[in-house]
Formats: sequence, structure tokens, C-alpha cells
Amino acid sequence: MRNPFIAGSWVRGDNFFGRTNLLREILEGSRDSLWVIGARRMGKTSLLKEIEARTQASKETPYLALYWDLQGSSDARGLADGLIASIEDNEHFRRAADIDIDAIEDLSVTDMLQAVIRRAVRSGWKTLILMDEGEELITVARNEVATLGRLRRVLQKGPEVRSVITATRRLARLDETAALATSPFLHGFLPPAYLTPLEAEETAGLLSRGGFADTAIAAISEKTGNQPFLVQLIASRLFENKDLEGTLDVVANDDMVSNFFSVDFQTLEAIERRILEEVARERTLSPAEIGTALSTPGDTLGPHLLGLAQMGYLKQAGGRYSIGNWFFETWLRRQSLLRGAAPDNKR
Amino acid sequence: MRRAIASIIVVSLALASAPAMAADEWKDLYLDARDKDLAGRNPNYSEAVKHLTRALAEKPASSLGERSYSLEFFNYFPHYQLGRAYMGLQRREDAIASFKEEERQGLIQKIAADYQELKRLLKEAEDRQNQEAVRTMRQHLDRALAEAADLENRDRIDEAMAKAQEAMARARNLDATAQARVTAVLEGLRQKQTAKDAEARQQREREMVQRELAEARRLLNAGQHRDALVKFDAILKLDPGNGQARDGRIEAQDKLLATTTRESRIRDLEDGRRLFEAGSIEAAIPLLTEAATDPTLTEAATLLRRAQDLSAQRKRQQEGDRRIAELRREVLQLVSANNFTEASLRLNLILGLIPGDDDATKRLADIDERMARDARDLLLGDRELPALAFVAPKHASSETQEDTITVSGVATDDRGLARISIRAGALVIRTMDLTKEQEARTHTFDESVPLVKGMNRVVVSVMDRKGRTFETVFTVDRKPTFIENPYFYPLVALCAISLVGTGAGVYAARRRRALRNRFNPYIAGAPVLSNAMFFGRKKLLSRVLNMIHANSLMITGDRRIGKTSFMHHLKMALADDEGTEFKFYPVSVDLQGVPEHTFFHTMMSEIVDALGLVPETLADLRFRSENDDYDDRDFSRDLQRVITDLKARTPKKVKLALLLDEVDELNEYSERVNQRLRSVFMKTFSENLVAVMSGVGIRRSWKSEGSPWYNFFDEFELSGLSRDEAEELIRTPVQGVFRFEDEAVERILNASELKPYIIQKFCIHAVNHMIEEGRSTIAVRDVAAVEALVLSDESVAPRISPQTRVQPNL
Repeated sequence: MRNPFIAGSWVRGDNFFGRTNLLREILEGSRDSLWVIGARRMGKTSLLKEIEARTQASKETPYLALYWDLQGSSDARGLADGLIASIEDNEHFRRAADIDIDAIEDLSVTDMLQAVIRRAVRSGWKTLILMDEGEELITVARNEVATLGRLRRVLQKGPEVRSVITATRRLARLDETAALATSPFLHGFLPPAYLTPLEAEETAGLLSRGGFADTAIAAISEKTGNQPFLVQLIASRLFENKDLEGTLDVVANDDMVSNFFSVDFQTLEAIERRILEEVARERTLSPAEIGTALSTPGDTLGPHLLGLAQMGYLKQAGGRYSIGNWFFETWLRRQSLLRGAAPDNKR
Repeated sequence: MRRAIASIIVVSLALASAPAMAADEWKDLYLDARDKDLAGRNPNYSEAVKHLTRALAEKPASSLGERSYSLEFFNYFPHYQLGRAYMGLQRREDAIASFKEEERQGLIQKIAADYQELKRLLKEAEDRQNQEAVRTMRQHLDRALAEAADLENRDRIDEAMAKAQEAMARARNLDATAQARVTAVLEGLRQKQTAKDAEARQQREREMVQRELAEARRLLNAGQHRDALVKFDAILKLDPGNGQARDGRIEAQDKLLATTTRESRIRDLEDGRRLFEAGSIEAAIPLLTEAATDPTLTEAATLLRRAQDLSAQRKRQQEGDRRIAELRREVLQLVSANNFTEASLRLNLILGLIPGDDDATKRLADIDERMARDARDLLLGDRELPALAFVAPKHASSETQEDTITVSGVATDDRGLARISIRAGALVIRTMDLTKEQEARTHTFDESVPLVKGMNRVVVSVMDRKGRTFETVFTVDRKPTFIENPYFYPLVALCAISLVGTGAGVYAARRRRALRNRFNPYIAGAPVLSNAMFFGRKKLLSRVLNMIHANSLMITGDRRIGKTSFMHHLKMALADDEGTEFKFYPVSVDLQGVPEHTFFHTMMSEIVDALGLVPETLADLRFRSENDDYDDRDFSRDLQRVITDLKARTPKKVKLALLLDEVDELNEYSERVNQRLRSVFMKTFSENLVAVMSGVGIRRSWKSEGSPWYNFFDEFELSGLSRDEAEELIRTPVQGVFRFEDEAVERILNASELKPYIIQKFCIHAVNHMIEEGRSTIAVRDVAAVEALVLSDESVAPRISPQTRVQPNL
């Protein structure tokens, strides 16, 4: 049997696990604008690809979904190029909305988007825009803030269009960057929905593809905190070498994994990074203890703790917080050591 | 005397033929059945069944051109004759199975008259069976629908749905009209059930409103004005016309305004907004409620309304989720207890709550199909016998000198397998009991069967859960091996003596020729393309092959570590990979020296050259070899067409594998081109695309918010060889021509740090040095003599690009 685990690419269909509530909120919920926050490699692209696939397969849905990868767009022209490339890639969308690429490819991104939505409405559909790599809007805001305002108006224009943006926490900086004369861009997209780690049963379902022993499944679930990328990576390696202890050790010391944590960590706000460092230092802390350690009133930390737990950086048990998974905790403690402050010695 | 000798011969022949006659009793039984029991005006079908069953026990396989004792030729079609007998006995189900078995044996097709008759009888049996079945199914359907209507009239909707589901099982075997009829009934019942559920929910809500009102009033009296106000608001969400709640709300609001300050309300608004924006809706509501009592804080009222809407939506969703989770749990239990009627009832309820739910729709369809099949079986019986398909042996008769033979294959049955057994003569090799496995419709087997010298009869038989059996017989003639021959040892001794003499002569001649021609097979610098010269990397190659169908991979390693050679051999392995559900089309692209503006054009050029696309596809591409004005959009569009072309070539899942070598070149390109290449892998058609890149490293740190290659690849590092692999690389290429002294090998291993390029360089120079001195053994002094030269070469020292490898954004 070939290795059934996928650690790098997006997945959908039979390879997609969990996310039932989030899928329902997007496809059946009442909100027409939604920001889905997810840590790096939490499965944001896969979520959008799965939504696209489900709407294409469904006979009941009112939505015509369009996946739009924003990475590399950087300005209005880049956004337009990315959008037209997405439409070219999506034959189902083109056919259902009866879209002629030649007729729209010279339009500005907002005109193109409006034209697409109009075509979809005429064909009896609502357009579901699925924007991936939303952080790119920060670059767009730096380069052409006016584009952002126009884009927001189209994306939130009403019931004929539903917009979903996936991004890390970093997207929150968009409204600081983009001083729009009207409402902030993210206004209608708040409050965000969180892409959390998988449920333990979903992890077990995914791991059962490798034919691993129950004890190995439980160990992987516990060590990874059900973070999907780590689960897939460890499962993939374990499938090859059949040595769980060795695999955990190798992954904990893997440059690629360190890079993953390092980049991910930088997407967080300074206060959130400090919270994580404190919790890693002490292994487990109550909200009040975190507040004391950071010299910040505990109740003002509430939203940050909630967000960190939702994104899988922290986990909560018995009113106390600890780091979401063993690998991240190991990395945090190692960083602390590298900076010359051993985790066991309080600053 | 002559007469006495003749008598002895006759008696002896008679005695010798007696066991053969006993062994061939099946012929009499078969011919009696065919020519006596089934012939004439008053056929005796029961006797025919008896005779044929006994014949089949002796010889299950059909055959052509058998010879009777009266020396007449006849064809042995026992299942066909058995089918005729069953037809006479009105046992149509058995007749159909017997005819189908005869067809499956595959010989009757060669006798046109018999085969025509078999087909006629089979059709007759099936038609009559179907007519009866349809009539009975319609009766059952009408009865089930009448019972469902009766139950519906008595408001027993649950039971009515179960009955309608039974009707659906019947209707599935009938026409579309029957199915539409039941579907309409089921839909009506589902709506009634949903309405009943809604009514029950409203009743629960009314009760809850009363409880909550009492609690809100208690809180108000206890001075907890804010909590009371939150509760009154929640009640008004459920029941907007509730007068008590409205009055209570006004009172709570007034009291709250009187006991708070504007500053505290502004603070509450700020805290509430922060919690709301972080998604902590429940925690935000009390703060926003308090802030919203201040009519000047209009934002508080807006945010509160949104938070209340979201909260109410989430609560409704949670309640629905709980109910659905409960129903799904019950479905699993009921299915495992084979209670399909009740399970389908629950599934219908789920569909009432989530119209079009994929899981429920699929499960219901499975149950429908199963119930329909059971209903059909009940009426028609199981007409299909279990089946066997073999990977090995490949032929029914074979010869071998091995003392075992592998029997491997797969058994299948649409109703479930009960047992598979493998026998060699009288010896049972293995029996697999599958009755405890749920839904064992297929089962693979792979057994090593011991053989005795001479003829062996290996029988694989399979039985389904209805007791029907099917078996396949292999005859294997185990020939004595050469070693088992009595002349073997003397011959070996003779050959050994002559071989040693000849071998020494050949070796000496080969060595002289090699020295004269300065034979030196090692390769340093150019990629190793020949399989014979490619050493090590098997484990890595196997890992890559195991993962590439679903992952993009990056092969990193120092310069001259063998990346290009590895990529070449990976390409060959992918092209030869036939054993799985995937069909790989590998295309190599060497990026060295490719300018940025021609990058996508170069890639498509290699693809077009490598894949031999059909003219229609080529004409449809935007790619033109002479025009390199070609961007990522053109590339993506053309890739879709290329993949469509490849899909038409194979029923397997197509994977176009782009093997990009010298990928460090991408580090010099703009970030935009890197992002555009990455975006190709975000496209839907990228499910048919995999990339393997190789280079010293790919740049991870770029200017913009996201990095194009951030954790995109699963990485493998190509490092030095293992000691064993390195030693193999040193010794094998000159084996049989020259010889390495152990010390020489050891010195190369130590000095080269096991890097293949340096090893090859050592070997090239050491062999040349040895040839110069007219020897045929590479000695340690040859290695020592070239060491300085090899290690001084600047290409030996590893160089790592400063921009490459993992560069965290810290």
C-alpha cells in the first residue's frame, strides 16, 4: 500500500476530515461575510477546496463557489490576474454562470467581480467567494488602499454574494494598515470563526488509514494536539519507518518543523507570543497567573487566551492553560534556551 | 506355453485397468444422466440430479473430447445437464446458478448448439423467475404502502415511515413509477415528522420561556439587574411578543441605568467590543447589554443585536447538533445490529433536519440497496456463485522444479464469503473461515503450497454464505531438479575442474584487454544515467515512490552529492511504475541557466517534448515553441489540456510528475514568478500534478506577507552513501577485471566522507595510476598517490548558497 498521508498539499473529498460545524456555518449559516482564522498549516486551503467541491457536487446548494488564491496579488492588477486565473481553473463555475473569459479579462478586479456576481445571479446562483491567503490584502492595502475599499463594497454587497476569507491572525493588522475613509475592511467579517485542531475522533479516523496500533494513534493524537499538519507529517514518516519513538524524536528536531513554528509564531501579536513563552516556561498556568507573570490584568487577557486556545496554540484543562502540543512546547522551550534564558530559571 | 503367457498378459492388463475404471465412474454417471434420465418422453429429473451430483463430486471441471468405454467421444458439461434437470423439477433458482456456472467454466461456448440451448433455457428460467418476483414484489409494495397510510392516519408517523421504507426496498426492484410513488409518500411523511418535531420544539421553548421568566424576575428582585436584563432579552428573542418579558426588560434597564455611570458603560462597551471581535460572544453579551442601556452609545446596541443574533443561532445549532449526533449514534448501533428498518427511520429524520446531508443520504442509499437486494434474494434467490481470480499460478497446468508453488489471488462474492480452502492432493494447506467478518465480499489469499515429485493436484475452493461453492484446480508437474539427478555430483566435479581452468584463462585475458584499453568505468562530474553504475539511494527512492502520489517533494543536498543522478533514476522508476492505481508521466526540467522570462515557456516546452501529445491537444495549446511570450496563465491553461490528454490514455489516476532539477535557479527569480509557480499547485487540476524539486535549497524568506514555498514540500536530504553502498560503488564497477585491496577501499572510504562524487574521483585516478604501473590490483599506494589531487579539486568542497536552506523569518 502506498503512503496514504498527505503533509504538503491541500486535500478534499475522501482525504478531508472533520470541520463539520464550520462547513455548516459557511454553507448554511446566516453570515454573508466571514473571516476564518487559522494558524499556519491548520488546513485553511483544504477547507476552502472542500467547500468548493461540496457545492459543485450538491444539488441543493444555492451557491456557486469560486476559490481565489490571493497570494502574490499585491495590487489591483495582481488581484485581477489572480481572479481571472481562478475562474479559468474552475470550469464548473464558468459553465454554471455562463462566463466568457475574454469579455471580462480586461476589467478592474472590482468590475470583474461585479460582472461575475451579476452573471451568477442571472443564472440563478449566489456567488460564494472563497479567498485564500488573506494576508496578501495587507500588501494590497500598503500599495493601493482605495482598491481595498472598493473590494469591500463588492464583497459585502448583499445576499447575492457570500465572502469567506481565510488567513492567520496577522490579517487583524489590515485595518491598522489600511486607513479607509469608510468602515474598516474587516468590519463585516467580524467576529471571526476559528479553524481549530481536529477532534480526537477525527484524528483517529485519519490515522486509521495507516493501520497503526491504537496505542500509536493515541500517542500521536496526544503529542500533536490533533494539529492536522503535524498529524499527517508524523503519520507519513511513521508509515515509512514503523518506529514511533524515533519518528517523534526526528520530527521534534526537524529543521522544517522548526521553520514552521518559527514562521507561525511571528504571525501572533506580541502579547500573545509572551503568553505562550510564559506558559511554556511554567508548563501550566491559570489565567490569573499568566496575568501576574505579564503584569497585565487577567481579564484583559481573556480574548487572547480564547483565540490562542481556539487556534490550538494553547489547550485548557481544569481552568489552567498549557501549550497546545508537545512539539510546539519543545520548540518554545528550546527558543527560550537559545536566547540564554533557561525555561527553568524565571526571569 | 504361448497361450499361458497370453493369459497372464490379459489378466495383468485387466488388473491394471481396474482402478482406472473405478476412477472414471463419472463418465457412466454423466452419460446415464444425459442419455437416459434426461432423454425420452418421460425424463427422470430426480435421478439425473443424483447422477450428476455424484459425477461432479468426482470431476467438477467441464471438459471437451472425453472418451466413453464404448470409445465414443463426448463433451462433459455437467452443470448444464444439472440445470436442465433442475428446470424439469421447477427449481429455477438452482437451474439458473447451474447454467451460469457452466458458462463460467468457459468450454460450452465452443459447442454452438449446446451453448444456444443453454442460453435459451437460462433466459426462460430468468424470465419466469422475474415475472413471479415482480408480481410478488408489487403485492408486497401495495400492502406495505397501505399499512403506511393506515399508520399515518393514526398519527403514528415513525412507524408509517418504517413501513414506507420497507415499501421502498421493494420499489427499488421495480420501475421508476413505483419508486416515485414511494418517494412521494416518504417525503410527505418526512414533512409531517419535521412539523411534529418543530411543534415539540416550540412546546419546549414555551416551557423554557416560563422557566426563564421566573429566573429573570428572581434576578431582578435580587438586584442583579444586568443578568436579569440579559435574560429578558434572551426571552424576547424567542418570544418577541411576550409582555411580561417586555415589562421586565424596561424595569431592569431603568434600574441598571440608575446604578451605573456613563464611564462604566463606556468601559463595558470597549471590553464587550474586544470580546466580540475575538469571537467570545457569550462573554461579550452582558457587557454590551449594560452599555446598550445608555441611549447615546448606539454602537453598543448594534453590537449587542449582532451578538444576540449570533448567540441565538449558535444555540439553535448546538441543539440541532445534539439531536443529530444522537440520531447518528443510534443509526450506527442499529446498522451493526442489522436493524435496517429502524436505522433508515433515523436517517430520514436526519434528512428532515439537514436536507441533502451527504452521510445520511449515502447511508440511506446503502440500506435501501441492501434491503432491495434482500427483498430480491428472497424472491429470486442468489444466482451468482462466488468467484476466484488468480495472480499465481498463471496457468491451469504447469511444470516446475521448485518444491513449492505460490497460490495467490482474490475470492469475491456479492453476498459475502464464508470459507476459502486450499488443498494439495489430500493435504489441507489452509482453510480461511470468513463467517465472522462483516461483509466479507472480497478476500485475498497468498499461500505457499508444498509439492511432491511428479503430478500434484492443487484445489482452491470458495464457499459463499448461501453455501454455494466454486473451485479451481491446478495441476503442477514437479520435475526433479538438476541437483536431484544421480549424475549431478560427478558432473559438477568435472565442470568445476574445467571452469576453473577456463575462468582463470578468461579472467587473465579480460585483465590484459582492460589494461591495454585503459578500462576505467567510473564517472565523476556527469550524472550517472546507467543503472549498473547507480549505487545506493534505494531506500530514498522507495520512500519517494511511496509518497509522491500525494505530496510534492524537495530533494536537497550539497553540490555534487548526486541529486541529478537521483532525479534521473526517479524518472525511470516513475515511468516503470505500473503496480498501483496511479499512472505517472514524469517530465524532467533542468532549470540551470533558464532566464526568468522564459521559465514557464521552458517548462511547457519540456512537457510537450516528453509526452508525445496528440495533434488535437497540441493545436489547442497556447504554447508555440518559436514564441516565448508565455506566462503563468498560459501555462496553467495548457497544463489543464495536457492533463486531459493524459487522462484519455489510461483508466488509472493520472499524475503528471514535474521533476525540476537545479531549482536553486528559482532563488534568483522574482518573488512574483515563484508565487505564480506555487499558485499552479493551488489549482484544482493540481490533483493530477506532483512536483519533485532538487537543488541545494530553495529560498524561504521573501519580502511579502507570505512566502511562496513556506512548508510547501516534504523535504528529503541527499547525504553521503552508507559504508556498504560506498564499498559497493568502489568494488562493483571493476569486478571481474581489477581488484581493490581492502586497505585501498578503506582509505577511499575515510578520505571521501562517503560522498559519491569524491569516491568516483578517487576511483578514476587510482585506477589510472594502477594502469600506469601495469598492475591489475588497486593498492593503497595508488589511492595515496592521487589523494592530494582529488581533494584539491575545488568542486569537491561543498558549497551552500547563502540564501538557501531554511531561513526562518525571525
